[in-house]
Amino acid sequence: MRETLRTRLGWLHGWAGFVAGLLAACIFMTGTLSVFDTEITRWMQPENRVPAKTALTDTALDAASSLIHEQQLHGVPVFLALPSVRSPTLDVLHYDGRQFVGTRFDPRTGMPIPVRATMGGTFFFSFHYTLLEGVTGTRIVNIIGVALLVAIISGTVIHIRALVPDIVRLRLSAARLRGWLDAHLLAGVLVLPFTVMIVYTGVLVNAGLILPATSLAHLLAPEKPGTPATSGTKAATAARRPLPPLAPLLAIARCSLQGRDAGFILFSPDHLSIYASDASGPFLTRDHADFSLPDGRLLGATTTPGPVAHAMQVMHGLHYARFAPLGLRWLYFVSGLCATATIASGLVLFLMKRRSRSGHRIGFRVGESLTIATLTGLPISILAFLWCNHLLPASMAGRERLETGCFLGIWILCTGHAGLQSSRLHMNAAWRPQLRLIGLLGGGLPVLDVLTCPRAVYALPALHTALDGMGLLAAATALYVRHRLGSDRT
Amino acid sequence: MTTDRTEDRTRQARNRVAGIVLACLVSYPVAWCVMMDIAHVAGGAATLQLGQIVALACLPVLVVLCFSAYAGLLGVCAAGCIAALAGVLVS
Repeated sequence: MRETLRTRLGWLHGWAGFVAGLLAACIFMTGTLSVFDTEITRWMQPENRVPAKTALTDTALDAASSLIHEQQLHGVPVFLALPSVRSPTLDVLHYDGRQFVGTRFDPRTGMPIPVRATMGGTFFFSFHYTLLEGVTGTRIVNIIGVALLVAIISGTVIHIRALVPDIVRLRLSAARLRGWLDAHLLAGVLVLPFTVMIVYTGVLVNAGLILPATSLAHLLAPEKPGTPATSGTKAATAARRPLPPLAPLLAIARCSLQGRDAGFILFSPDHLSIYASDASGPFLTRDHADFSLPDGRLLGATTTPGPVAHAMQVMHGLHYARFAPLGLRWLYFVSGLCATATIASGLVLFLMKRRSRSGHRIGFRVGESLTIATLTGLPISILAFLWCNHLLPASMAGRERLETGCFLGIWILCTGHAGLQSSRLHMNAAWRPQLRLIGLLGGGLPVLDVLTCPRAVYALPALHTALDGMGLLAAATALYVRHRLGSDRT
Repeated sequence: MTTDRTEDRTRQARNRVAGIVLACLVSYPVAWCVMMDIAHVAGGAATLQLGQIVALACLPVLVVLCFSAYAGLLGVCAAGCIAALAGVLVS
């Protein structure tokens, strides 16, 4: 059997794409949702009805300052997230080991807003880059990213002659395999630059985990224990005194940071640091101005100079897209959906091509079950997570843990269902009921939202329409695919 | 005839799996050497970041190159030797 470069790279594209694609589809799906993570959090906290672009008052800053001082006395390391276009509340937050939690203040009155506890949109963000497995998960995500780049390069090489014709060719009425291949190529070629950019910059964000700057032999060496803080007594004394007024410090910091808005303030016992907002430009920096406590004297500004550092900041900025205005974020979202569709159609194609020859093998049936768990099980779990948020009582204790439990539990159930429905000869019967369930949950999302949170829908109609519209889009796509599957059961 | 074809296919699949494992094993150290060489040129965190930017762009290309043909594998091995020698000379 003669082997050409095309057949060899075709094998690489297929297998690297399938193995990496199972996780990559999850990473892309949740990453696409993370483009609107702040908006999803607002949707999941309907009690927060503060309109966008609300002016921040000194009263609100003083109220937040008092709470911060109180928490500092209890030894809780807190930071203050300042209002922005996307999140208009003033938030005093700390990390509880899983997520950032704290109190939201109304930026006009300084009154705390009694919002429900929820994992919010940050759940999708955490899942996107850690798979809920911490550093190990991030390392796996990085490896998947490199494998995806390998699949993209090999796919581009085997399709290089037909890249341009593929953009205008979509034959849904042709043979089933041809239709899926056209959809895979069309979506893939259209968003190829975006996909390469987002995967490459994503791997670069945690480049140190995949290409550490230590000798390969030192990678397994145990880490040295950290040195204890030396200025404990002085710091504790400073923390007992109240914080200086924050409004003048913000004005000084704005001048020190070349006119950029402040994004958040970190508090240490003896000083505070005001960081430039991530939304102030495509360079995602950690430039900050430091002030001593308790007198509020400017200690200096820290900026990162140099073209290489700026290049890295642009890479990070492009991936996080926090600088992006609303229109550009929608472009990211649509491109992310297309990239997810490319991976999804690639997974389906891989199975379709091998069904006749390997459909009887246990490996094939496991692969198909995992594909179903990824392509339909994950959207079901995401929608169930959103339903759970609106259905659980707002004052219920530990409701954020229940949301996560619901997400994971339903995903496991979907995987189990797909595993049980696998058949020796025919297409797995789990596709159709799971697609119908997406249609039901997605289509019912706007109804649920209007019935359970009518005041929030009335106060923030654009936000709720957009989020509910995403549910409807998922439902329409799932029902269309289910309809197409209806005629052929092989 | 059918048995021959099945054996052929099995051998080909085995060769391809071995090929991708070899490609990863060769490409990763080469990319790491490239990163460390660039980092050693001037030292400091900035050049290390530059090394990571270049090495991570090279890594998937090297894997595909290694896997595609023996000439590619040999080329990557040669590049790795040069990178390793350069690293020894710089440090």
